[in-house]
Amino acid sequence: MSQQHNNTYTVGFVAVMSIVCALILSVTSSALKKRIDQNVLEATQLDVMSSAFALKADQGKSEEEFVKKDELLAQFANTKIVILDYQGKDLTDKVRNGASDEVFAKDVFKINPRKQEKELKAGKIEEKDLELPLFVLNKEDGSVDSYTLPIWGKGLWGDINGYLSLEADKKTVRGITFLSDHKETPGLGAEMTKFGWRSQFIGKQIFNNDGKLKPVGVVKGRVADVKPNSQEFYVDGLAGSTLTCNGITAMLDNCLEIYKPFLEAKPASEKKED
Amino acid sequence: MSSDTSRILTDPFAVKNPLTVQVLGICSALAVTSQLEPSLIMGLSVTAVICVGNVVVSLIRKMIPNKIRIIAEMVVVASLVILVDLVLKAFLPDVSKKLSVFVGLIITNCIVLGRLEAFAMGNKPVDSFLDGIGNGFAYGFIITIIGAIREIFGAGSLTIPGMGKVKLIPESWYEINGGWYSDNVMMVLPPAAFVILGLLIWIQREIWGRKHPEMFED
Repeated sequence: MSQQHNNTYTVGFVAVMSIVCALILSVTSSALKKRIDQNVLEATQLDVMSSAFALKADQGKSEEEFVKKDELLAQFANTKIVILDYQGKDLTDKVRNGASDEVFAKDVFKINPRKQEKELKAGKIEEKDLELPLFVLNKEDGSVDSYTLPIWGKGLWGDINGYLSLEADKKTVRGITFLSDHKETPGLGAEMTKFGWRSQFIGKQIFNNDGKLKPVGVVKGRVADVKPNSQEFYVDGLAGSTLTCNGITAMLDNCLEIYKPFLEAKPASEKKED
Repeated sequence: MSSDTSRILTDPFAVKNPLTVQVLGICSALAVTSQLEPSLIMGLSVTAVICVGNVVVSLIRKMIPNKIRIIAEMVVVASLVILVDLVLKAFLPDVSKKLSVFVGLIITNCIVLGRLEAFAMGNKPVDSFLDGIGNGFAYGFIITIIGAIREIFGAGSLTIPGMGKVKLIPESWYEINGGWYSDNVMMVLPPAAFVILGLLIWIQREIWGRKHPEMFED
């Protein structure tokens, strides 16, 4: 450490070191890419499914005790993927373009409603170009068990993505998940991903008594104190994370508005087309 | 084991604790300690990075030009952290999900750079490895204590890895159930870590400070 090196040595050292580090990292990265992609895909499919199979949290139990990963992934294979247009019409065959089930189950996650919404606002695409994914889980007798749709919005520090599942009546929330790529504060806003908090959404209503769309809102404090008379439309806020909670309220408002034509259509008219 | 070697391991817990004596790595100690589990995982990840970083830097310490040694150390640390991140994503996706941004934060942890600069640049690989273990665990030990205290008083429960959430405060104590207790919201916020860390520094200096006045050297 004490001896002095000349400049040529220094530059040479930097060059060699950069190349060695870059080489190690790029080799590792490409060697693990397939595995990582597979993990990411499974995690996304799992998020879709765990919003559909969210169970009411019991005190002191963790999500792992309720949710079996392999079973959920197997359920995803039974899920029918539908693409809707802005009027709630089925576009699946056009978008799918003959892709096999397996390929389509991957490709559907490349459809990015957040990006489409941005482009729509910027005037780059028209409303009729919207492609909105929807995951329909069927019961064994063929009737609909649940609908799962993507939700996207902004929290305090960055984007939040997630999935919202509705019962077959399209009115009752069956579950909600937030993807782990959010940037909310650990211990505060990031508590939104915790099972206990999310399970509050289960059973809440997204249409008000007059039949108008009124997505679930997050209040500041406890619903029982703030909105004692309309508890079925609100959930408790997270202490110390008001802006994250406001973001979640706004994202539910926004995303369900985009899916409104589909949500307002009578469940019966959605009866299988195939 | 000679007494010199064992002191490399034990000193970080006592008179040379990176957090409470040298007051390094405070940023991560405030940011990740709102709960027990992330604190624990952060402690282990930092230990792994210091150990391997120390060994690598120690191996090439005679080759590193003095003028750019800090940058060279940073490159080693950054590469290691990216490597750890990739391996976690590929083989332990669940753990990787829990750590999220914390892995990236390891790069900015001053303890890592501090140990590379202060120890690995002038010592043999084996000693450097032990130094990494000692400092990593000493750091992990302190943030785990902070994490546990904050979680108990901030959430009334403790999430123990492998056992799930253990409720420590009885439900009937809570105000909402007619009791007198409510969780301390400040405990969840970073300032609480400052207060607890301050108390820990006080305790530590009470225990070792009288015998080792060099702890107070500026």
